Amino acid sequence: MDEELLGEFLTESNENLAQIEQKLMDLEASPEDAELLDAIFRTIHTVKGSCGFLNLKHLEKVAHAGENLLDKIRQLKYPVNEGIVSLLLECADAITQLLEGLETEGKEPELDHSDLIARLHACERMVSGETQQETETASETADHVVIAWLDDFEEPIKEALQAKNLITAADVIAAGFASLRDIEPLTSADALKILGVARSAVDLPGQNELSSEQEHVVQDVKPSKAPKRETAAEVVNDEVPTVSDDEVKTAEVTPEKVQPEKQEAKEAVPAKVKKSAANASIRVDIGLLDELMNQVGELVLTRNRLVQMVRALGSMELMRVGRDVDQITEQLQEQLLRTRMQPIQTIWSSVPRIVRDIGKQLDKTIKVVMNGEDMELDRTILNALKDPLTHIIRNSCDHGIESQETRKKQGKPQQGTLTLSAEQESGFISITIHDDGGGIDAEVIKNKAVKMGVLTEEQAASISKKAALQLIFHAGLSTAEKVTNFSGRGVGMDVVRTEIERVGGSVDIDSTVGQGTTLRIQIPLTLAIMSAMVVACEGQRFAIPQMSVQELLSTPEDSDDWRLIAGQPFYRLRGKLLPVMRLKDVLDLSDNDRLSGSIVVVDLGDRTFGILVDQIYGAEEIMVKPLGVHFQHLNFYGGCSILGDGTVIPIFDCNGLASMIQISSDMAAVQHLEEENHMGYVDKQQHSLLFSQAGMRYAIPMTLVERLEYIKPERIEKTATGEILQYRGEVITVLRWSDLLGEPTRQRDEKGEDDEVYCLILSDGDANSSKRMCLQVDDVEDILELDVGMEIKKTSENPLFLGTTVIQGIATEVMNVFGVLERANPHWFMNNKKDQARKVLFVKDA
Amino acid sequence: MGQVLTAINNKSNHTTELLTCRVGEQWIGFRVQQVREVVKQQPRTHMPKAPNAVAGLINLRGRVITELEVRQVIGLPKREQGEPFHVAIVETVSGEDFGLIVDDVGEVVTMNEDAFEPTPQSLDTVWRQISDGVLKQKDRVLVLVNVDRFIGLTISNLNNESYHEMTFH
Repeated sequence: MDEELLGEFLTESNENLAQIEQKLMDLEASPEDAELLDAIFRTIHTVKGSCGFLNLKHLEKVAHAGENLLDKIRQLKYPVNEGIVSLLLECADAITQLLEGLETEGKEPELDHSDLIARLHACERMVSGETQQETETASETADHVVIAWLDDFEEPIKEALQAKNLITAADVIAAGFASLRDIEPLTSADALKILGVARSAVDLPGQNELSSEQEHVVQDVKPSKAPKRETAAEVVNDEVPTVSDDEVKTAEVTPEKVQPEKQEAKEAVPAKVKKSAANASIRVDIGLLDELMNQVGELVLTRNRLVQMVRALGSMELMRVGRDVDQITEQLQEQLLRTRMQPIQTIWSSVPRIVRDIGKQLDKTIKVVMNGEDMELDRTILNALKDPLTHIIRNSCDHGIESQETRKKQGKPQQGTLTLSAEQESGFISITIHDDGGGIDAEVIKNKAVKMGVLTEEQAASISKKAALQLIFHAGLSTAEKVTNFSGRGVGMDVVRTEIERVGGSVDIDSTVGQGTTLRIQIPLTLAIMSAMVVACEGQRFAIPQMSVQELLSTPEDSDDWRLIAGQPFYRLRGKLLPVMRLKDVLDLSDNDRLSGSIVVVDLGDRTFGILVDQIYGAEEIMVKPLGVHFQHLNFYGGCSILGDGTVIPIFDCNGLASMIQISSDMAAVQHLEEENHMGYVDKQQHSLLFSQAGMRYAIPMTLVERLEYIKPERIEKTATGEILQYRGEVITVLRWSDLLGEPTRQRDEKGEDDEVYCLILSDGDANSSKRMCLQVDDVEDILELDVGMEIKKTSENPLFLGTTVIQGIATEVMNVFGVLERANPHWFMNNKKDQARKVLFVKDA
Repeated sequence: MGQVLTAINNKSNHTTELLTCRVGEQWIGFRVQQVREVVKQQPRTHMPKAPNAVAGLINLRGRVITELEVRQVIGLPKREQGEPFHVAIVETVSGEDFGLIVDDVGEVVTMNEDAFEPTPQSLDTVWRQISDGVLKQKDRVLVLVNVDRFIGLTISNLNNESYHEMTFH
């Protein structure tokens, strides 16, 4: 088999079949649309026609059966119903399946479609049977008359023709060559002969010779390299004028004679359409485009050098030429990028079919709404998106949208709606998939996660709703109670995420119980060029993909908004604590611990963190180049690029970077806590801060801890009445936990003088009364969402303690904050607030 | 490239051209078919957390190439600041090009394949891994370096790196 021919056949058939699903479904919606039906017929017909040349027997059979059915429907104007459309879709699937097999194995896969073919035949009979009665009488009378002109042919052929309702010569001519040839057991030669006889029977003598000539031509053409998309009849048309000289007479008449046939022949129409389409576009090997892309990339860089040199020379004339080169290069690059772009429609077009099938199976009616389907994306990215998208859609239809009864009960429209939208944001495209189904309950996910051992109960209790929802992307989590045909096997959503991240995208989920779920995919427009934030750290430049960058912050070191918890810096941003990674620290660029510079806030959907850098240069469009084999294990690098001045710059992969800081659940708890404090929300659960002193562990309820500070020891000043700290323009009392415990003060030389110490700023919670104190402790270990007051195992006589509890398997003394406050100032509670505060505490203590 | 390798294995009478380079006091040879060019120092971008042998990335006319420090691989002391060097751009079976940093580049010598002796077992492990044979010349011993194995070595050394310590401390 000619490989090139086969390749082109595959490409074309795949393209045609991509549209057929949509068309079939449109047909289901408007069964009267004859044009649509014709288009569908032509597609199947073209596939079948090409099979003949390529000798694809099995495919031909399947396509043939489908074509016959379609032809019947067309001829008899039979209104299609759901069942027929399903059958035809199945037929299209079978063809696709065979084509796929052909593509991968180079030969027809051995699949059994006899059942499908039988059903197609049965359906065809059903279609013709129902309308048969009307024509029956006419055929009967015609029966004997007709056959007369077919006397030269054998009985089976006559029967076959009759079975096809091709009775008179006019009928046969109207049916055209292709349909004749398709009738079993007629061969192409028979078909041509019949056609010829039919013509002569009607009124044209001499057609016999022509038809045998045609037959001859067709046979010649078969093994040649004729464009295989053309069907036999078309080839005949093209070839006939070249018939040998001794046949001049016939040849002269041929064009007009054949012309009417051409107009009637079904293949004439698609051939025309295709030709004009072929003139407007050509197929290009993607590898060639990639190569071109690289070349243009180099041209851009060479241009940069040229522009710099020209500028240095200062010649006006050269400047002008330089500017031209500059502009042309830019346009070239831009247009080349566009050659790789395809509308998102290319992958969305399969969605209605998927939705329809699932809907039929699960007895749900689902409407698909699409916005922005003409948005264009790089082909590579589109390809990578296809599978994840399909999976998301299946999930939405299967688990998202409820059954019709449920929807009715809830007062929702019975028909569910799935909305796909794509919109462009600077340099990337944001795709949202929204369903108006039942939504996802974050609690269910949490429970599941705990059950599967993904989260501990404490973690589950502390994470926010949004973070809990993102767990759906965790391998091995699937909330569906029962496994269905379509989804719910617990693999998939993690694959979805991996696939999307592989092409530099991100995905997050949001859901409201009872109202629906929204998945948002962000993806770069093109893989080759991206917008990136160029930053510097220790004199070295790095690029951070703009897509993940949420905002930029300038942070002086003495900013009040820095927190250090267990060595991890946090930055207070609009009431939340943002975990910050020191780039120089994680990349081992320097031991310098100073918290100064700028923070690039990176938002990855489920988590947000800051990257502390020395300097931010600004955003730049950069061309992404892959890194070599030595960097494959470093997942925080996403590639590299060459800047305008010729230097190589590494590009970060923010997901990889995020994995370098352990944004563990306790940190999420801090965030959570801060959120709650900010909103004035009081949870039943309470946060407790764990710290250790001289090997013992202590817990302090966070309610009265206003801030956690990490300060230089010399800021604690000695006065006649004790130690004090100047804090926000106030002077507040400092107590050292070690002193309160009566332990010797920790040896100073153990830690350098410069080492900062943890200070808990305690306040009675009333911002106006401004009563604060500072408690200096040794090592802050953790913050847990845990109401220590509720879990006292053994009460204490010491006024400094409430008692002992066990946290994470370790005996922990729970501090009585009020006892400590009273130590700092015996008159602390000499006002009304005292009772109130105590009451709170007693309630908890009970 | 594949042909080159087979030619060597066959131990035929074929001659081979070698680019000789000096690293420390040692002379090594690369098959010229695998050497694209020799370039001088280029502005180099250091890549944090990269394997030890990686010196950084350079921009060679729009292509990004990983530079590998041959001294590091064969266990020689680090190059002094300002000490001159050359970079041999070599290609590998995988299709990726690398820049090998050497101290000096000598002449191209034409050798008969048969003149090479198998790598002595007494040599250091690293040398045994990267050598395709040795050639005793008047005043020196030339080690024929197998570029692909050399590159492979710089990657397999990854296990000894501390790259997996990626948490905050």
